[in-house]
Amino acid sequence: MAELSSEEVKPLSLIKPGKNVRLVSITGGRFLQSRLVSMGLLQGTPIEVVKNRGNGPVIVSVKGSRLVLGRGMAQKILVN
Amino acid sequence: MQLAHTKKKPGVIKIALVGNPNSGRTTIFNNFTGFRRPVGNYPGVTVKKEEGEFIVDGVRVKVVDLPGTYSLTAYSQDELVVRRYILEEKPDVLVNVLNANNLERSLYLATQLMELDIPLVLALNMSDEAKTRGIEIDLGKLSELIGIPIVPTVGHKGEGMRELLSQAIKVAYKSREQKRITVNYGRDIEDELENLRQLIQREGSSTNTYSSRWLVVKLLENDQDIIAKIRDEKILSAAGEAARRLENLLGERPEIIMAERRYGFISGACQEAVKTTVETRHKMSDKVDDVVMNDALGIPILLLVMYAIFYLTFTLGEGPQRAIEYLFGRLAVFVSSFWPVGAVSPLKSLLVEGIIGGVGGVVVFLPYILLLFLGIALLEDTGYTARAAFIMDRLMHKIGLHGKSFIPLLVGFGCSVPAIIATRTLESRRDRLVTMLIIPLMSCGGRFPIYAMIIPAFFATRWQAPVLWMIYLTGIILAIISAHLLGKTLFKELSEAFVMELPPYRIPTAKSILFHMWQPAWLFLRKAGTVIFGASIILWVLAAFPHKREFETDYTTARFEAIKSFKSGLDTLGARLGLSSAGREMLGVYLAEGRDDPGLLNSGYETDIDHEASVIAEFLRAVDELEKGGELKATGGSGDPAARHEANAKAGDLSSVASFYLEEVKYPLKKNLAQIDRLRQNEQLSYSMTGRIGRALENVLKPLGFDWKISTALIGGLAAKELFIAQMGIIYAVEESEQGKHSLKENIRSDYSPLAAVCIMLFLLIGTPCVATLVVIRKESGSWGWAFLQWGGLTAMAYLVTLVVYQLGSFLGIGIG
Repeated sequence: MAELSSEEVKPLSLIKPGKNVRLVSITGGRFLQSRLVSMGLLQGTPIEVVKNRGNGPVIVSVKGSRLVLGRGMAQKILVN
Repeated sequence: MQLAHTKKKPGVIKIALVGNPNSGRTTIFNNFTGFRRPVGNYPGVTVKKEEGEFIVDGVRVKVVDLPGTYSLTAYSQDELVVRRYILEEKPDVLVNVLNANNLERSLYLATQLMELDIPLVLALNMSDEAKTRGIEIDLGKLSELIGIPIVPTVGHKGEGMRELLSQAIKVAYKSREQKRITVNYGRDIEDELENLRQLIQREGSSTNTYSSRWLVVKLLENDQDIIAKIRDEKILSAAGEAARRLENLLGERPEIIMAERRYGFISGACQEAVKTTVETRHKMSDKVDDVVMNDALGIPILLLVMYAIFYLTFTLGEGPQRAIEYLFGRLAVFVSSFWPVGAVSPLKSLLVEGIIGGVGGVVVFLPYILLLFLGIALLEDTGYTARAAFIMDRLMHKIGLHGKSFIPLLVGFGCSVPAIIATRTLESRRDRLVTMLIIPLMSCGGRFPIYAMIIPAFFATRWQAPVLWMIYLTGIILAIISAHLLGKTLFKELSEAFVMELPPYRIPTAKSILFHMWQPAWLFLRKAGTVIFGASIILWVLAAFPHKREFETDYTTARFEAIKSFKSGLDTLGARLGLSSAGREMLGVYLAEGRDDPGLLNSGYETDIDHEASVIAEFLRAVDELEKGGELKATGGSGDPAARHEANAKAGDLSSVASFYLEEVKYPLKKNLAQIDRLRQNEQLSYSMTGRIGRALENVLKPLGFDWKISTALIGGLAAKELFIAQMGIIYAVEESEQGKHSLKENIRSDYSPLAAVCIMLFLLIGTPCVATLVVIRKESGSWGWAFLQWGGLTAMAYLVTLVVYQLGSFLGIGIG
């Protein structure tokens, strides 16, 4: 269950580069979730945002590897 | 010793390699098999299978390299292929290749593999890199915690291969005894799993193929593939209810919880067994990426890189290309030599013009293709490709594609066939289809000879490169428009799932670059060997039949006349050499047969003729020298100035006789005979199927500025773009490689306007994709429907565009001079 914390939950697409966040939930279909999970993105996983230009894909560091996430994806990943 | 899963004879062990993309799996596969394996296709599924067989320690081993996947869900083609292979082919042991640098994520797949009943071995690859990064892994402990043997390897250095193999073989034999650890999903889920398992055991139906643990896990996860395979209503509804119960209880769908538990398991194991001493990030990579993926610099750098690759391809490729051209030319001569000079035979024609001409015309491009693919392989192996996809993603989004489509499109500039196959990396079918459909618009290598012929014929040197560039650009623009249109009509929703791993930059090994270069090139060659080979034969048939019996010109007589004049030339020659009639006969025998090799001259005649034989031999040597472009030197260097002077005079004489022979006798004969041949061919062509079709099409293509000659040649282009020029050559009865007057270039120049020339190039750029493309689209898309749709759509587009350009141009009076 997602924990309600004092920090706001935001989509990953809004997180600035250099910040470390934790994945809260993924809004999306099973395909999306499954895809992300298999790449290491699931609830509670720490994510470091490496690059985020404000548009276009987002680069993150998860479990020791770099992932490029499409903008649409990044918008569906909620973090805090 | 019984092998776990097979009822086949022991002694052949089947090993399947699985693992994430970028884990070095294929490198290990190559190490095992030493690059010796065929590339084939799975029946019914469109992902390639790599297999290799060899013997190790007296055991016969078969290794299969499965596609890279992160998981075993039913959501992507690759995953389905992997799981189907495992379930249906039942390998004896699975070797899961892990990237030691992202161990936690890499183990996710392993946790699922553990649930299958197949013996498993883990290869901890890239362990050298991990060590330098400061990641220390206690293999013994880790292995114990997850219950699977682990072998450290460094694939690209070939370390650990032996150990890996022997461990795999050992495990294959011992499987029954292997302790099975699987992820514990928590009591609630485990209870439901157990219920389901018992239910299935009671029902007993078609479930025997699957390991029971894996089966119930998948059922609970609502795996669509498994659900489709299990028809039993009872089981399915029980599973559905169990899932619902769990969701209510735990507040989350079971598959999510199970994923979490898997990672929990992994994390637990890693916490005990893995120590990171230094927190290193991708420092170097980051620095490079700062520049390469920079907002402002990203695209210019990419364009520069692409330009560099194309430039190198075209410049470095020229030499080898000429060499191959030469070789095929020699081959044609060699094959022709089995028939007497000037003979007209269908078989000879089929072999020389049909097959050697057709296939040769395509293979000649191998150097370009290889170089282009080399460049692309370099990009891939260094990791730049991922960056390119990232950089292009935004732009590609605007036309309804993802950045991942970029590389297949790039490959398309070499040859459509490997490009279409390269779309396999795109996960969503929709993306794949759209990309595949527009690939032919990336002007492929086969069209290049057409441009190379036409552009210099019509445009001054300073315009040539820009015009070429514009053709390529037109293709790209049309591709963009098409993708956009397809997005608006047939393929509405853009799939959201763009996730891609960004591997750190890497210095590639020569081996892997060569391998990545060779793969698509091999496909190109295979296309040449099969489709184009077949098409060349068909085209030849179409051009050879109906067979014209009576010609406008009597070619036999013409040929006879040509030989007659040759003979009289020989007579003159004999006189100048001072030969007797017997000597002239001997000379005639040698020359008329086309054999001017002095070495063939065999003395052993009577003295008179013997002397003449030596004159002839000297003469032949002189001819040989001249033909090689050298100058005649006096033979024998005696010190005596008088003798030398005489020798020089003789040499001078000989030289003039030799050049007389060449210029007045030999070359004219060759030319005449060749010309007669081609004129005959020309007539035959008009008379044949091809010619008739071409003429029938003439009216249809007239509005585009084409005449029957072009439309006939286009039929050749249907098989392969490369064959268009060959057909043109036949039509104009001119050899395309001949320079100077009456070359194909000259002929085209005089027959068509620049506008028409541009239209020809446009039509060929856009329309009638080659047969090979058609076949590959059918294979990759799974239906002829898409193949024909593409063919029809592109041809219609070509017609339209060319029509507009030609009519507009004519109307405005541009380029009709």
